[in-house]
Amino acid sequence: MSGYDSALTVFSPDGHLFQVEYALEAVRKGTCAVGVRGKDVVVLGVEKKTVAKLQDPRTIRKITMLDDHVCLTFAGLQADARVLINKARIECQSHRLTVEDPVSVEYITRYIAGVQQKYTQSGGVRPFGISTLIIGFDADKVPKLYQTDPSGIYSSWKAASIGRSAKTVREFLEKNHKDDMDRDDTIKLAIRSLLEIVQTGAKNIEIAVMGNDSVLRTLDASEVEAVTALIEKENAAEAEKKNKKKGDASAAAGESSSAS
Amino acid sequence: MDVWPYQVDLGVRDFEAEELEEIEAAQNPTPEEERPAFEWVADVDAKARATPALLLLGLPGAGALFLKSTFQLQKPVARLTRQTEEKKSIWENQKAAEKTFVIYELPDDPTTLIAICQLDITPEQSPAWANELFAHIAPKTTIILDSFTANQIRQTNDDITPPMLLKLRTSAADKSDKIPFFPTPSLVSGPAAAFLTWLQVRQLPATLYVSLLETQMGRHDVITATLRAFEQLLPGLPPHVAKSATKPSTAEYAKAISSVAQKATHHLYL
Repeated sequence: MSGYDSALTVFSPDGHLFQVEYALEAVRKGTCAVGVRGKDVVVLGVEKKTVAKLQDPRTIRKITMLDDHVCLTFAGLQADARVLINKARIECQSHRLTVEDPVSVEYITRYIAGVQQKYTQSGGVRPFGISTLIIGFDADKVPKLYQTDPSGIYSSWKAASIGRSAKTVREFLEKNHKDDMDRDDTIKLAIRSLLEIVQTGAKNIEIAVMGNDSVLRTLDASEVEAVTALIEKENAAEAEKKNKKKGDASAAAGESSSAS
Repeated sequence: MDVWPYQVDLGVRDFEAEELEEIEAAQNPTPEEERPAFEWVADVDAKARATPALLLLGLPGAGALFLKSTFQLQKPVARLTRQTEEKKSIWENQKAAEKTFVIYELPDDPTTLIAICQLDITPEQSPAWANELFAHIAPKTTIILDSFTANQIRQTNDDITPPMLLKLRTSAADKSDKIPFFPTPSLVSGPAAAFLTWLQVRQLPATLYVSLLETQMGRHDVITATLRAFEQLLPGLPPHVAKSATKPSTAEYAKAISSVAQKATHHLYL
């Protein structure tokens, strides 16, 4: 590994670009963000970092708008995210001026991924240390969710997670995601997946919902807590049902053995 | 050639002094302030607890995390500490508070002790800690839980990934479980080896189970699969001990891991 990991533009003998892979490690240091696509809604959920006592929380934003109908969240180096978001916003406005149409979600995702890829193939620079989740609606009113990462790869997802413990959240989403979920089920799935890894519960979760009117709405803390309470109630009922089944099964086994 | 008066050549090594230092180090391998001290918790009947039927010892990392997640550890009965507790700064005091070696009793079962070690014990100090622990506790059977990395295994070129559980045991240990042995010529070192060696020398039954850590970018991490690998030994425990064990969910394992993981202390990442 030594000798091939300090220069970005040098492949290792086994085909690795170590700086890009190290950038992925920087992404894992960021708090978790999850995106879930429903039938006519798309939800972004993020794990909020505790803000320092003297810091203005309004200046620490993990969910940002790129245009009126496109929203982005990221995980990784904050400063890199700021630079990439600024570039993307300029591109959105440039597209509106040139083509007289707003960008499509796929277009701006491809642009962001292209910028990230450019920074993996130039001398004197380093890759962006962020992965992004981009949501939005185009004119077709179909919800879109894309993910990009420091290598410049982008793809569309039904549900995706980035940042710390993303693997655990992704496994949960794979088990529990259903196609064509309604608004409430989509929000519930996003919150449930974050509760798998957020230790402190609802107070450190932020949820943003975009419907087919392309308006982004951030849920209040009370709304998130209400959904969390509902989820906990359902989990408790599920656990009770399982215990009852176990008790019935062992009672039946006891009866059959005493009969024999 | 006139060589008198004899002048000390300051550029040359002082072999005599170095040899004296080596002899002193060999006689006292552990500095005074690093030596362990065992103490029973107040109001605990030390005599009754000193000869448990089973001692489960979880070493720092995967072993300790698994035992903490699986068993209800509410009643500490003893602990081992470094002799000198005086620390220099608030930071060191805070770090010291997180690093403990505590022995718990299972609820309603004084015959089983569970030791959770979260201290960083160097290989050189490990024999002293083994001596101190077993000087006060004489278990009939000991099970030690630790972890290993892919670099420690010298075997085929196949990539190995968690979950993977291997064992080493003393000659007197029970031979019944089906978990594969740690392959030769690979070595286990550190506190796990010291504790097992202490028990082997005295012909006491003990088994060391090691679970594979995930290796990524040269870093070795405990993941949920590492902890889940230890669940294979639960059926082999005595029934009253296995009954006390819970089977944590993936989320509970993940929470336990992240509670001890090094947190990024700076605000660069969001």
